[in-house]
Amino acid sequence: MIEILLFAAVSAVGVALLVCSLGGTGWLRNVQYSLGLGDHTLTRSREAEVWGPVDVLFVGSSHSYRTFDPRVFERHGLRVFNLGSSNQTPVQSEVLLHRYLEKLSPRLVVVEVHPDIIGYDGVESSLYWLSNSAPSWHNVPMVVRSANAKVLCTAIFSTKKNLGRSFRRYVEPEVIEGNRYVSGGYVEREVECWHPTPQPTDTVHFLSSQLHALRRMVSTIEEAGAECLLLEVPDTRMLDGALVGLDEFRERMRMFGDFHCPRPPQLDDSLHFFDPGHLNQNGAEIYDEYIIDLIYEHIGTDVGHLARRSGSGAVCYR
Amino acid sequence: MLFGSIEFAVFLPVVFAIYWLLRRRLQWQNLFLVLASYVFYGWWNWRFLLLIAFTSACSYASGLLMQRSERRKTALWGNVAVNLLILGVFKYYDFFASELATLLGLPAEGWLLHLVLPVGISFYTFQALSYSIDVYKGKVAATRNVVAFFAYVSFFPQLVAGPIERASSLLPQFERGRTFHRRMAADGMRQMLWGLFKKMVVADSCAVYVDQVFGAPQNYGGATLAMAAVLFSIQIYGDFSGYSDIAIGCAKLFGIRLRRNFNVPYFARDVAEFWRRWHISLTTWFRDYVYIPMGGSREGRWHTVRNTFVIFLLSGLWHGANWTFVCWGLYHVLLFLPLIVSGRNRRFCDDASLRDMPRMLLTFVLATLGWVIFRSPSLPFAMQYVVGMAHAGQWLQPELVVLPSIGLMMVVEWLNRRCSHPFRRLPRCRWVRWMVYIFLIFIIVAFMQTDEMPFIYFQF
Repeated sequence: MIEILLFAAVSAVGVALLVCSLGGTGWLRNVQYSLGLGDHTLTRSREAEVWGPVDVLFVGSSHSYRTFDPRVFERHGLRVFNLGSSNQTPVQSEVLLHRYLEKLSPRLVVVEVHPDIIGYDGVESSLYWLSNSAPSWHNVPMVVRSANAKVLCTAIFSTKKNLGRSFRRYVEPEVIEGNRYVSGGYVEREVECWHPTPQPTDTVHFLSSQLHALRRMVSTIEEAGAECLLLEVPDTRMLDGALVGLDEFRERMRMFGDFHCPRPPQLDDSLHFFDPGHLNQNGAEIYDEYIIDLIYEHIGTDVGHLARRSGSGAVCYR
Repeated sequence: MLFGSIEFAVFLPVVFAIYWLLRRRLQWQNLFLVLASYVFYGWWNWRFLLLIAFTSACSYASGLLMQRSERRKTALWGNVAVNLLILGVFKYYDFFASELATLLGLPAEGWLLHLVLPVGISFYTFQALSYSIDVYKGKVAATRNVVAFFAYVSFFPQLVAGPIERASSLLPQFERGRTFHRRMAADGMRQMLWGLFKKMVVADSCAVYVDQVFGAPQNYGGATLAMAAVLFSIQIYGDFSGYSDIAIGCAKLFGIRLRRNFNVPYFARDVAEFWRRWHISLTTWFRDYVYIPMGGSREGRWHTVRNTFVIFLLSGLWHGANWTFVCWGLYHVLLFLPLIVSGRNRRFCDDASLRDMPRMLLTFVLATLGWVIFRSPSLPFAMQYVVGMAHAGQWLQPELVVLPSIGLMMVVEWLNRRCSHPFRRLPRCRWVRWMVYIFLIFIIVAFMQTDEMPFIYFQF
């Protein structure tokens, strides 16, 4: 028994050393270190460390960081932050909440839920966060719950890499492939011509691990004394029409808490989206204005951080 | 539950610990093993448990009937019929019904049952049948120990993809007490490690390339098609022999010895030797229960040819309900018959050396052509694929890890071809051995495919 435990310890150290030493060569398939990739996750993670208290915290996938524009909420006196990443599932969101909830101390946490995301394993998002955030013990549950060799190897390598100077010195460009980072975790997409096309039929899948993580996340938020709101951001009507099981998804989400799927009537597939599942800047602004009453319903009539700071109901933060 | 999954990584140590805690109570130990095996099997679909329990009960009852009554033959054929009927309905009914409907020009849809094929049904059915036949022939006494018999049919390491065991070797191991041998368990873990490497690194890496090319062969040139065919040969070997290594190694953890299923088949120098080294438990099953009862090679050349033809045809059909499998069997019989007719089918029974490389390469190429038929969804597809190998076109580069991992597997297996598995003989120094294990674990963790890839032979 002692020999087995000794071997387990020695092999864990040995494998970690090999991954650290060879991870940078690019030969190891399961080391997917992606510093500076993933729609500004690096800038977002750095900002989250110093951003301070907010009124509203948004967590979720790309639908979150491409929809909730902090500038719109600023106009209404609310200070917000987006803790999202590409294909981020409740498993990653839960870990991020544990890491940043206290620092950001929001009054309301908006959990963005999406019928596509609830069936993902979230590996892509884990890889982005591990590569683009400072090493932390909070990442351990993310690695354990992913149960994926790619996440494990990348976690080992990025821990070594992100403790170094090159990580601290790395500065992400403000605009990457037409995506501009906006303070507060938001990513603005240039408005461009997009023609919606019919989408192939797809079925909503539910991963039990994601449902469990969502349940735990709601409890964590409530235990922290914040309000929790589950929000489904709109897709194009074409995509919605191609999804089988959307009603079941919404039914299930209602069981987790206060769930809403508002859709501004003026949203148009070709005018307000840049792909089947993401609003463009015009669409995001329309949507944010549309949900502002819903947000205020949850944080009460009390004015937000920005408004309190200036003494008026609506101020410009900058 | 897959061998490389997290679930199995939790399942195995728990079952191992409880199993050896019960070592002083054989019946409880066997009962626990049956329970664990049913949990393992039911992980796919609990409904399949009814089928395996029914198969076990029928075979157990037929054994007792053969022992006690005069109607030995009725009991045997009754059990054979029941087992083959179950196998036929689940595995072959839809295929033959649709072929018959096509032949008669009728719409097939109304005739089909669309049953889900239970995982490993061919394996455990053959294992159960071997018991009945051996009891009938008097090679093994019918067991009264129902728990031991259920453990024999459902023993989880080899339940879903073999090796197909014989009652004469496996059943007595469940009927007598087992003692824990540290060396045996350590050897089992080594063999499992090597099997995991073959499956998770070699076979799964090849699978990505193979699936892409076989998915749309018209998009690629001859070199790519040839490369995909070669990689499929490696994939199916790594996948199936990897499974067998894990199964045999896992069984050793429980003090059970299983038969060897592969003996470096790609180092065979002709097709006859290839078949003595590939899926040994199935080829010997057909030899013992079909070929020899039909007369084997004792009744003249014509009968030998006929018998060989029959077992290859059955072997092809065993793999699945598709004409491609039948043709794959026929293809091999065409390669095999000249050796039988010329009396050269036992020419290579010794160990191969590097001087035999040209013969080994030729055998590998012939086997690879057979695998193209095996892998193809239909015969026209296979024909087009083979023709496409002669045409120029787009080249698809395999992933960087593919060729080095195949090279590592082949070199290690070549150097240890006289051992039951490549990790059987390692340096005595513990730290050197540990370095080897750690390196292999690192290779697995750093290069394994993270998408779930079931074993190919699960579908059979």
